[in-house]
Amino acid sequence: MRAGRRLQLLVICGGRQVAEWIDNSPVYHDYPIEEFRDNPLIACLKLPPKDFEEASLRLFRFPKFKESERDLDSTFRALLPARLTQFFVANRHHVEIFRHVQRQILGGYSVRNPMTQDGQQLLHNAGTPGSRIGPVNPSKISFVTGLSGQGKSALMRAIMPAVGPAVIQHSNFREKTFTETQILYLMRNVPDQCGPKALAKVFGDHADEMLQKNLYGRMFSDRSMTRTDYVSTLRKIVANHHVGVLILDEFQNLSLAGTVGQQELIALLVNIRDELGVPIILVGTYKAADVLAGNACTARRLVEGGFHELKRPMSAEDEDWRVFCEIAWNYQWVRNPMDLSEDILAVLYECSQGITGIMLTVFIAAQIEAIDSGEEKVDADLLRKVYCRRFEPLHNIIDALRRNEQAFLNRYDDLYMKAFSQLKEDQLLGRVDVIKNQMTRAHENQLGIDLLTDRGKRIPSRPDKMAGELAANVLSASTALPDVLTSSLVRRVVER
Amino acid sequence: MRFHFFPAPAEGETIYSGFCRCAERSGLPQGHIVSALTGQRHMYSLYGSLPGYLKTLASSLPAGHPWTNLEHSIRLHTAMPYYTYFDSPMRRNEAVQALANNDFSQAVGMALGLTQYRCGAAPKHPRFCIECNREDEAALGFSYFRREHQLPAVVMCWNHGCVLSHGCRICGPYPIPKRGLSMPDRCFCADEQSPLHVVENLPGDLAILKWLACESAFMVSADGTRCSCVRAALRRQAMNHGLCRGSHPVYSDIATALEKRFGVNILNWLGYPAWTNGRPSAWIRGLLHSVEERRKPTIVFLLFVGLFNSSVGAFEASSTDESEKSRLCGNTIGVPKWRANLPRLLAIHSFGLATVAHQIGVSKYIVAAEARRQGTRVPLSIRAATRLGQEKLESIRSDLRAGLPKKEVQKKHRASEWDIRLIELDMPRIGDARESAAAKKTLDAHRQRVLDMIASGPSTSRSKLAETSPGIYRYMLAHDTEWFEETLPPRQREWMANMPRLPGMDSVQPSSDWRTELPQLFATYSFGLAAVAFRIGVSQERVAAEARRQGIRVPLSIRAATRLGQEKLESIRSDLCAGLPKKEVEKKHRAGQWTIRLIELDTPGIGDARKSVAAKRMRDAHRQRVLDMKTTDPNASRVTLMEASSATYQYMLEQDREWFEKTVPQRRRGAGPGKRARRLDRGQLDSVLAEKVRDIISELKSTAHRRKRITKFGVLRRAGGLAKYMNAPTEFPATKALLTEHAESKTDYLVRKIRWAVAEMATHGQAISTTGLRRKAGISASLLREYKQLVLETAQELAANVDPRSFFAQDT
Repeated sequence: MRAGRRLQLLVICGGRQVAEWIDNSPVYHDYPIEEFRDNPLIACLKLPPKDFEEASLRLFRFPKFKESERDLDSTFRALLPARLTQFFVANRHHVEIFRHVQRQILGGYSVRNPMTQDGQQLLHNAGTPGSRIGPVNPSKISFVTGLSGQGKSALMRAIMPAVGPAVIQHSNFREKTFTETQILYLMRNVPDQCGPKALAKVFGDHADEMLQKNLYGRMFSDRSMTRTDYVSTLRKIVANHHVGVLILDEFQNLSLAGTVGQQELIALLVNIRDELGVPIILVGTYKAADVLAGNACTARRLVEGGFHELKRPMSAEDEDWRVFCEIAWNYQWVRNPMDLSEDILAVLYECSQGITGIMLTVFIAAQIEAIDSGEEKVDADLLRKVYCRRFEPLHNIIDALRRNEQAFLNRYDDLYMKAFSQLKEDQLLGRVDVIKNQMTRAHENQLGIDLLTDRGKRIPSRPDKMAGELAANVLSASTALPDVLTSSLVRRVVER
Repeated sequence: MRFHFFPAPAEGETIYSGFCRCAERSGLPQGHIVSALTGQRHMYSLYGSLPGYLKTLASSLPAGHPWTNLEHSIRLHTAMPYYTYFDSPMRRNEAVQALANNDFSQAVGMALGLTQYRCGAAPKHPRFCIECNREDEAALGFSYFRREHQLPAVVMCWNHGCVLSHGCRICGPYPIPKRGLSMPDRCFCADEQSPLHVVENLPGDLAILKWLACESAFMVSADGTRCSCVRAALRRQAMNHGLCRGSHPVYSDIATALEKRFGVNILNWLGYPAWTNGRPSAWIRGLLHSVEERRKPTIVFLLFVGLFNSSVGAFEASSTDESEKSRLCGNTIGVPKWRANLPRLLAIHSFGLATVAHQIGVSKYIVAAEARRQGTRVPLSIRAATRLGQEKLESIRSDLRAGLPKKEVQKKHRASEWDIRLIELDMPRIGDARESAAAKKTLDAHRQRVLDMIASGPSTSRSKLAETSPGIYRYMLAHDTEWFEETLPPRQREWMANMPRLPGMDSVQPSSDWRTELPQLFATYSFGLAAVAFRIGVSQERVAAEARRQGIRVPLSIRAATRLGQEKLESIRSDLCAGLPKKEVEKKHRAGQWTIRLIELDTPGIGDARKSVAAKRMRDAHRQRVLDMKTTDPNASRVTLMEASSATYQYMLEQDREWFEKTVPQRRRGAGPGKRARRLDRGQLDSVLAEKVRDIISELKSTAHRRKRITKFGVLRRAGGLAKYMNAPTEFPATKALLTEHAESKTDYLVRKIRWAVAEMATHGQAISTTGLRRKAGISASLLREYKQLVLETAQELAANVDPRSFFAQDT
């Protein structure tokens, strides 16, 4: 592992270097169900939520907020709305998916109890092709789909910590030796050159990252290894580290592969699920669903665990939408926050058509605009103004969504990506995007999900130069700060 | 940094097996696992007789793993308990600690004598039982290498009775090349493995082999023997089985019994034949004869245990019954401790002196003396009491109380010395009473003699008493000084009264440095013994003794010389020089002991001369008795002499051993005439090893065999004679010559490989290309370039085609 990144990822904990996502002193819970009893892989996980309220509370991700922050100078307050990028509120559908995923994980572990003969047999024969777990295999492949920006990946990131720690180092389970390392989930994007070999390598590298060891990466760098070796190694990693669930994000990338590649990858996933009893969750846009549409048999196998569609609210009257907006509206760092009115609710829906990602971006941009301009309040007019002025690339998409034009929506993914890349050209939105990416990545680091970015960039622990420039710009426009403080801040920004 | 996981060990799983399972589960390369966990890359150290690098392993395993506790892993997952089974608990612990603190287990193995195992201390390839594998798969979900199967002389499963396997018939024995750490019953074969049995033909009786396996498994799972002295227990058992004459084992009988019990084939297969050159093998003699606690292979002990017992458990039971009594509070009583524990030992053994003496290993007289010293009462046995009779007993006791000398008591009652001793032990105070009564009687007798002497002549002086009755004089001075001083005070001579005395001399004890000043004192007082003694404040006898010790000549006084006369003096001197005993001289010349002493002091060398002549005379007398015995009976042995004249036998052993050895050489039981043959026939070993080496070399050089470098160590290891050869290379001249001739340097090996590859390609009609040759020979292209000329020459020689596109065809 590269030393620079490792230093970023580690925190000093009790004199030892332990990554944030590793739990090396697990607490074992007693499950009242017979199948789950005496299973260390299950006992170390969080107990299932008792009710909807507890489940949603586990999934909620609230950004930091203090009312006293509204008294800060606008220079600083302008940086705070970006915190909303990590905002997540679970609705009924989210909780349903959470419960489903948790059931899948527990079910998968129930047949892989390493304290039993079957579990040990699986561990020792995982690398052998054709070896199968017992006759009953409750694990399934599930599919989570929805529009881009609808919060699929965010949902997965919220669900996983709600189930348990990413990596659990066992040593002793109820007076019995159990020196194993359990990886609860391996979450990766489907690689652009998708195929079994690439997928195996991606997961192998990721397992190394999670374990903080250079074990499997070295094997995958061996060019003499064949496809069979890669797949065999992946099977061993999954079985040996008791992986609870495999999550393949951006499943629509499968369309980049040829038919043969697609078939091979799907066959690999099905085999892993069948033989190792590991549940798999595929996350992708509707485009991914289209990839499967051609082959009904394959589609059936990939969604037998459940097909979860995150639908956008069809009106501003939607209850989930109202709850989401009501909670988000509290996070205002302007001096004169307004109450949420029907008018504002309607404007928010108008501007985003229920796509939560777009709605939050508009809300953030409006707050920054209000702070910068000195108006210090966000109302329907400002929201509309910001949307019209700064979100022009999205207008076509929003209009199409409003009109529900199917032909246009078929191209939604491409258009959405294109529109967001254009949005980044806007000075303010570009900065928000940068901060958003940083915060997302920091969060993923905590979860052990995204430790190695595609571009291999170092993850900064604080806003980078561009964020600094944003602060400098804000400062230059501000006259409220004392001279001494202003000069000191500018100097720091320049030094950086 | 600790490894991220390691499988929890199963019961009796070997360390090597743990690595195998770790590799099988993770799919990681063996080199990576071994180096990450042990800090080195050699797998061999893991499946040797004792695995190495346990300390490093303990620090690399995940926290909480049982093998992080070194003692646990050594005792429960290595063959150490087997190798140290017959050792004392202290030595067992020492061995465990040595392995725990030493990464290099080879040294520990050497210290444990593992190289002495003629059948090999551990198998070359890890072994497994197919049936055990099946059961483990069904019960645990995986199979593993058990330590019970990796023990010396174990070729069968103790549990299932089937022959063990150590690999696959197709892939070869474990560890399979290029597969490394494999779990048992796994190899490259896609279908079910066809196991490779450890032995194709069983070397002997199936039941015996299974017995060996069972008992080995028992030993490796046990904590060690409870018997305090295994050799002593085995000797006792040999005695009980009638394989001893007296207390001496009859080795020929034991060898016959061993053959009968285990069979000739199995003993030969184990490398422990019962007979060597028509005599019982040395290992048989060595085990029972050896008194020192030198380690012997466990298998040797096991064979002896099997000879006398149905199992090791039975041996433990029987030996524990015997030795349990010798244990107190859980501690075995060692010889040095027996004195402290004597009262309890006597109590345990019902006051049987002979039994206790046997347990301790000393004579019953020593035990009796110690019991008397400690005042421990040893009741008279019923048998002895019956034999003596109550009346006789009482009479003896009363005589003893009356202080009658023991000899007289013995004579009077016709009782032996031992009987008297037993009676004394039965009544501990009787001895003291007898002694005090006897002392009083002696005292009274001596006083009476003195009083009689005074009554006979009022002018009686001490010197007169000393001359007439020196015994009484000495006794009085030693035991009854006070009364003696009062009754017969010393008369001081005038010169003594006038003699200057050291200040405070009367009250102060004689100083110890008078001895160093003795020559000066003699010179000062003109060699007057009495004057010097008086001056110092000690008796004349002590001064005389010291003068003799220091070799100071004290000239005879004129008075004494006149009294004796020159003729008598010369006669005494000549008699002393002739070695005549002093008593006889005294008698012959009617001279006192003091006179003889004075003559000795006058002639300092005379005492030593007398002693040496006396010693020579005694030696000649004893020799003569030995020679007389030989003359009488030419077949007389030492035992005959011992029985006929124990004093001469004892004298000969202690004083004249060399002559005794020559005249009456020691006879060994069962030993034939002639010099003892060498234990190992090195010549034969050399020829056998050379033959094996020749075969291996020819096999390695054959075209069918995979190319492998011929090295001295490699060949010897394959031949199974590395240890023997390395112990004494000079004893293997033929093998050495062969190895020197055929051992290859790296260059030779490369040349041979290249020639072979070119020949192979030529045979198959393939054109010699760089890639083809590289693959065939297993040599990198860069190396091949260095040997271009060789390739071309060989190709030309074999009329092989060289690929025109290849490097070999190019001019550069």
